[in-house]
Amino acid sequence: MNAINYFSISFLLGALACYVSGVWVLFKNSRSSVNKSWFLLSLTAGTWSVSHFIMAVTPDYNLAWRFAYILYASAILIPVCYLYFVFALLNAVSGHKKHLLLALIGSVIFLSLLSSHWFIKDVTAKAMFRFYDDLGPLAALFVAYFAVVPTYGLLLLLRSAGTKGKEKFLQIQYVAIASLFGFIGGGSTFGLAFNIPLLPYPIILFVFYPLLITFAILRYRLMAINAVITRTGIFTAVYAIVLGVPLVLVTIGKNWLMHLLGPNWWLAPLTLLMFLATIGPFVYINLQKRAEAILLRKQRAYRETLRSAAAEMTRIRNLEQLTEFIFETIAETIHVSHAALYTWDTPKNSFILLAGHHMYADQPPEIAQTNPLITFIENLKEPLIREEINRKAEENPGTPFNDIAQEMQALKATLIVPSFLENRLANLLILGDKAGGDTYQPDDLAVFSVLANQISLAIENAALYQNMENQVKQRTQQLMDVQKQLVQAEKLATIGTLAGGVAHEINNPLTAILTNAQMLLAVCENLDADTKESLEIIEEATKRCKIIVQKLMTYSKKPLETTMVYDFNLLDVITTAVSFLKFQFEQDNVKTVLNAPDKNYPIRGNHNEMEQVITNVLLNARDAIKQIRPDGTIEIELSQDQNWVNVSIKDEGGGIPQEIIGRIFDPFFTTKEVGKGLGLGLSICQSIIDKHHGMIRVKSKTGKGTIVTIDIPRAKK
Amino acid sequence: MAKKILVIDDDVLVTKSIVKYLKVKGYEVESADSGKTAIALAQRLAFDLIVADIRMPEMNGLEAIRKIREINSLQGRAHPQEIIITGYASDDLQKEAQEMQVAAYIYKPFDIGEFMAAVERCLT
Repeated sequence: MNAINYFSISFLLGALACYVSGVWVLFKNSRSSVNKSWFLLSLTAGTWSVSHFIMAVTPDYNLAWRFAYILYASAILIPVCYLYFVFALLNAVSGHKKHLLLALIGSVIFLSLLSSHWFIKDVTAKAMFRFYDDLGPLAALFVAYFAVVPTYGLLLLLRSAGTKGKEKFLQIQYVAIASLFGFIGGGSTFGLAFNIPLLPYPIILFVFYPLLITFAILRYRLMAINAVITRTGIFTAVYAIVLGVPLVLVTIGKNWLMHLLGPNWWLAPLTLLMFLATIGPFVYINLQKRAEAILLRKQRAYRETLRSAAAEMTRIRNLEQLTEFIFETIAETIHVSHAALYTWDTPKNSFILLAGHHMYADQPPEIAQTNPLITFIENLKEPLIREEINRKAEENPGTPFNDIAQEMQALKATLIVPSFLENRLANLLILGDKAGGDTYQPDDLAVFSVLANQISLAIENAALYQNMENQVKQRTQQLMDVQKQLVQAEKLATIGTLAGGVAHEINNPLTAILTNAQMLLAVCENLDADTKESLEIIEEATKRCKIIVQKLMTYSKKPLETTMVYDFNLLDVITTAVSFLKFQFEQDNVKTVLNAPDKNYPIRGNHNEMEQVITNVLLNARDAIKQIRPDGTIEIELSQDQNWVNVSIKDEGGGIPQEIIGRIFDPFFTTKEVGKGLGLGLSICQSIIDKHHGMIRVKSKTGKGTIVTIDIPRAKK
Repeated sequence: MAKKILVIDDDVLVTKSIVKYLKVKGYEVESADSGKTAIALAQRLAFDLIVADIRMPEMNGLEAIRKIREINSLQGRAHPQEIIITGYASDDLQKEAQEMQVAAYIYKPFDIGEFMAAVERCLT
């Protein structure tokens, strides 16, 4: 009898699987109760299995007996360890301490009874086993206990499956199936122990059960069971055919083949094997794809929609339209409970809520950069699933996972998909639960990540576009403003030209009026007082008209034409200007005060032009005053020394702000509205003063007023 | 004998006013409403003073004066002085008048006293 057979190998493999799994899982996380309890369970289960192996292969009776004890000692501890494991998985250890205690008491009782012959009667050779346990009636009791306790555990698992959330549900599914494997596989060994002729063929299941549970404990984002089953099923089916057909051929058809092909009959099955093995993988892949297409048909459909939406997005330039489109797409395809998009806002230095869909009223408007969630995501660079985080938080108490789980809760996020632009976290897409309660699959996450990145690009695109549009608007506005100013300038230039003609037109009738009035006054002898007064009024009024027209003409004359240059008294110029403006200023309640100690301030130049300058400055002074008060005074001071004549005009207006004062002599610079001032004044004044070889300076303080100082070289005789 | 004055201006209101006043002051006055008319008059008559506006259609005052000077030269008469009266302040024209050495350059509307002072200055 070959001791090394399917059964003994299975026992050995099973033991190895248990030990390796237990140690590895404990190594991965020694603080979690799930991992700790699994280690204990694996230890006991593994020891049980290895004992069976040793018993099956050793020829030594005494060794076999010893290991029989070890086997059942472990078996007695398995129920309580399993229960502990189940409670740990359900995070219910603290609430079920009494149950564990009961189970432990049961185990202790059985342990104490183990040495009795009523438990293990003997070890003998049975079937293909060198030694196998032979059990008595106490053991039957034990089997009952063994059946009840783990069954209770399994039932607990299945009952709470629905309440723990989708990711946990998957985990529980895996563990339940694995537990079944384990107990069926392990339980099948009891038959022979009671001399029931049932060989433990199902023992192979026992080998797989630790692997499944390891997978369930350590791996996040478990594939849905149906996907696993499909894949495994197809794989098994294909390879069963690849290996099975030639095998069948060898076992059943051997004689027929020998008859057919003679001594080299084995070539036929070999060829068949090679052929099938070659096409096997292709068939597998093909069947797999089809199966998945059917299984995941619904999911695939929306993934396609999302992919094409992603391409569409970059075409939308308007930010508002873009966010609308994004959420419409998401809403229609995935049917999430709610969604929100946060984007990095540089001025605020945080992530602000840009837009959303079916959002809760208390969806936070901002995520600070210092939020632990942000740091975590920036390092991880992958989507976050809340259940996963919750699980990690449960299994690792006291770590940052707890904070992150809380943050996700606060953000009402079941799934957070980050997107990066040039290695920098740019946007966070937050999704609620999928309608129908499905979990997010790994494929989903891949598609969402792509979508999120596309969203980032599209948003950046739209933002840039908007920025450009704004700049273009600005420039256009500036151009329009300058154009208005140019139009004004041209108008005034035209007016200047017109002024000449108009002046001439007016001057002729004025001549007629003045001449006749003066003539009547001079010539008529017997004028009564009233007539005389009327005539005098006519005379004065006409003279005033003359002055006004004159000033109008000089004011709109083009500067820098060749002008007559001669010596004149600046004081005269100032007095004329003041008297010309006197009537206007009186209307405005603005007084002018002239301080000129001397009688003569000779300068060389053109007195019309100087008058233009003085008038301009006085008008500016008047405007400055009127801006801030109902009345005021303008002080004019004339002074001179040997070489220079100086006039300063001081107003008590609002003053000129520091940032503007450098520009006041620029042509077209004006602070007045369009139509009210052209801004030609001061720039022309400066050119006139330059022509006179003088200097014009402005000193101003906001709130205090302005002083304009003009220095002209004194004319030498 | 009374002095003869020629007043050239295209605006009839102006000429009427000036002519009236000068007559009251005892002068003999002829008026012309254009350069052409003025030249025709100057051909026939000898004037002691010319008072002319500059801006006139077809021929401006300075042109007219030049032509009159020519006529007087040809006819060997004494040249009368010229007073320019103008409502238009153009530097170029002023310069030109200066170069032509007119006796006075007066802006309209003028004070009649100022005008008469210039007239009397020219006729003494």
